[in-house]
Amino acid sequence: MKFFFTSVLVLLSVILPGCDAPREPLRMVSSPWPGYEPIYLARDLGYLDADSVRLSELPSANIAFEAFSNGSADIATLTLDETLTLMSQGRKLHILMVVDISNGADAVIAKPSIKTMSALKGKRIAMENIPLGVYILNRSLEIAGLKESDVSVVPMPEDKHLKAYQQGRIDAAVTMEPYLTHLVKAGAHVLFDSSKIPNEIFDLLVAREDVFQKRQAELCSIVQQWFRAFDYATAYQQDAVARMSKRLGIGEQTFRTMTEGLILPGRQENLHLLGGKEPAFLQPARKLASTMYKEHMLGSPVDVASSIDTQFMAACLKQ
Amino acid sequence: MNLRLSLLIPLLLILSALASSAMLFLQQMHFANRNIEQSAISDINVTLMHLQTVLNTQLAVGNLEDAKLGMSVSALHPGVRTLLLADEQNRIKLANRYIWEGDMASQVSGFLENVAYEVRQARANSIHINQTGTLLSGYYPVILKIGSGKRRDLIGVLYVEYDMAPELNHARHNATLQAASIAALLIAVSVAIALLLHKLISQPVNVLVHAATRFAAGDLDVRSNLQGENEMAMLGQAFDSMARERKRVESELLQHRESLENLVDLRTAELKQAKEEAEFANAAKSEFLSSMSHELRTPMNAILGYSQLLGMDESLTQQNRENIREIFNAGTHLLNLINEVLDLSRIESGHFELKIEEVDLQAVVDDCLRLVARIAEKNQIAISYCNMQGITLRADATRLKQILLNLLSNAIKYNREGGNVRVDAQYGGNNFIRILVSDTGLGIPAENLADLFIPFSRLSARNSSIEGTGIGLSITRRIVEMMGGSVGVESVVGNGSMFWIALPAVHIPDAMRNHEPCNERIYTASDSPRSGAAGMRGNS
Repeated sequence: MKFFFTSVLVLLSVILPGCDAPREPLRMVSSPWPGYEPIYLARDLGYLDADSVRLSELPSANIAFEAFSNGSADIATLTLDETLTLMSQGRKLHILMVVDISNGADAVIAKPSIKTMSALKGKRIAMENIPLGVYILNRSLEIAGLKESDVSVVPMPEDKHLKAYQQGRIDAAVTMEPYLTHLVKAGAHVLFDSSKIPNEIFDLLVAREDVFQKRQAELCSIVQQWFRAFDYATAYQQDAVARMSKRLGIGEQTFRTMTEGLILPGRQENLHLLGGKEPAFLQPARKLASTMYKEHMLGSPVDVASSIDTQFMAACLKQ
Repeated sequence: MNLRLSLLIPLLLILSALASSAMLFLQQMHFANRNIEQSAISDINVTLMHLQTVLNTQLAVGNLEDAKLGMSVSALHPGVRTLLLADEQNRIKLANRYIWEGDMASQVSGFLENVAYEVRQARANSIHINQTGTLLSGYYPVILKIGSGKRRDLIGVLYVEYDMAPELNHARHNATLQAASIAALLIAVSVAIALLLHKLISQPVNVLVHAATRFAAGDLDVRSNLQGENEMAMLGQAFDSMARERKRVESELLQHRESLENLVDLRTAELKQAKEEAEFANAAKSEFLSSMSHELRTPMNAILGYSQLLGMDESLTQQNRENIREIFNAGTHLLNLINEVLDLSRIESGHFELKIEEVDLQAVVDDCLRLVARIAEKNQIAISYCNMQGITLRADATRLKQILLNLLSNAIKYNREGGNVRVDAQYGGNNFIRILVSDTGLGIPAENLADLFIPFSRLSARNSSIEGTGIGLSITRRIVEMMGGSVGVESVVGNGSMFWIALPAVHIPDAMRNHEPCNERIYTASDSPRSGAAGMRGNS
């Protein structure tokens, strides 16, 4: 009898440690954007556990979106409209945190001769074929009383806009930082920016539903480290700005200018936005969703609430 | 090996299970290591070759953005830790971490400038694996700018660091799980076998051991009662049939012994009764003889007395006196016979007493010779005798005399005409003296010698005219044996017989001890104080 028990014990001691399969690190992708910088700062400062999350840098929002969409990444920094687009395609996503709210960082610029939005009629506007670009264009045109068909849209990745502008191949562009600043430096002026449509353009940290279900603790950790980097940036602004601007490949002044066009919600704001019985995020998000749906930017209506776990932020912040 | 088999076998099974699991694990790890390494190498090769071509193409047209894009996408590959493009000065042009751009490549861990140099020179890839076997480093040459005219190409180095550790860990995890599962299975099987062995072998063995022990201790009714057809059951059944057989034999033996004992008791009782009857008969016989002898003797004395009286009566004729003398002789003879019978009966009934004392043999022999002198002379028998001076025997003098008389008278009686009787004494060893009485009679056949000493067995006398008694020799033997001695006879048919008696001696002359020949003399009447014969004949 005791033989039996010893063998069972032997078995357990061998099997149990093995049961814990080594976990793949969470794959996170992001693109150059001031609002996204804290996570890179976190990595630089060693806040992120390399075995837990693997942060891959991609040069544009387009490719980051693509990587997340095709499953090459588990978590991504996406705009709300990108998120809604994926959701309308049937993808189940979870919004982990609101990273920033565009407040002037997205804009429509034009050469000096085009003085107003309405003057864009018939003009060539470069636009990256991303939902945000479409959204900004439509909203700005809408406000100016124009339609998309009134202008000549030139699809072009944002990093190409500067050259095209300088070469005179385009008259205007839907752009965002840092390219916005580059274009302004090159002589263009802002016709419209996101400050005119506040609380419509959110940047989010998004995870796939299955990842959210399985690795919630690790996702929480990422969120915590994000805020921690925030804290560092606030405490050591100089160093933080130096690092972040270097990674973005822009000057520190440019960096500061860019961030002025962003609202960066901290812990409490996030809690307010995403937590509680009535998350503050829901209303503007729903509004955006219905707008996009009306403008045929979404194939089917999206239930924004399904992507938010109202307990998540509170739970993460408690630890 | 003092371990029980039912424990030893499963233990060995478990050990072999663990050993095979361990071996399986090690093998898997070995193969996994190799596989992972090889596939990592080929994987990286392909990926980087592709990147190489992208970079070559894009950089050739100065398209840094697309080069950057290509590099970033390649870096999405899970194993890639570091991916960078270093220029001719080993400064980072592009990297998967944008922050590195502009830094020295050597600041990034793992980048070796000498390898980069060689790669540039040879324009060939170089792949290394670190010491622990977990990190793969690859160096690939990339044309940054095609040289024109005399200017050579500007060669940059695409450097990749690939971490195989996650895959290896995964493989180790899988191998462990597999080995553990197999070990678990085999151990479970071993335990099952252990239990099975216990049930099929150990338990029956214990039952048998127990049964055998109790059986050996005496419980013949114990049985193993093992049922079934397997080997243990067969052993048990064999034991049981042995036990049954043994028990049967045992009870048979018991019965047999009981009947034997009964038989012995019966026989003993019978024998006892027979002995008692014999003894009773013998005692009765002796009593009878004793009283009869007494009854017989009384009138005998009258006969002897009166016949002796009459023999001396001068008034009777010579013929009448001789007749009366015959009556007297016959009566004497009868009286002797009665005495002997009385003696025998007394001896046999145990009422015979001896007076053992130191006896001078010469004196006894002299007396005896004197007493038989007349008969000897009458039968013309010469008597010779040895010098027996100095021999002292431990015996009853009276009985000794009686015995010697008996032997002498026999020697004379059973002799031939003009024969010889010799009385001798020898050292018989062991402090015994042998007295020998030899005659020159007819001799006795060997087969009859033994019967001589049996009462009433008279040989050759049936058909002869010699009177005698059949008791004498048997009385002689009894009395001599009672005195601690022995009797015997030697005889040669035609030559004569030699009767001897051996008795314990008190004093033996040295000459006799040394077996010196005796001083033989012929007995004459003058040797005896009562004889009236003239002088000595022969030597002295």
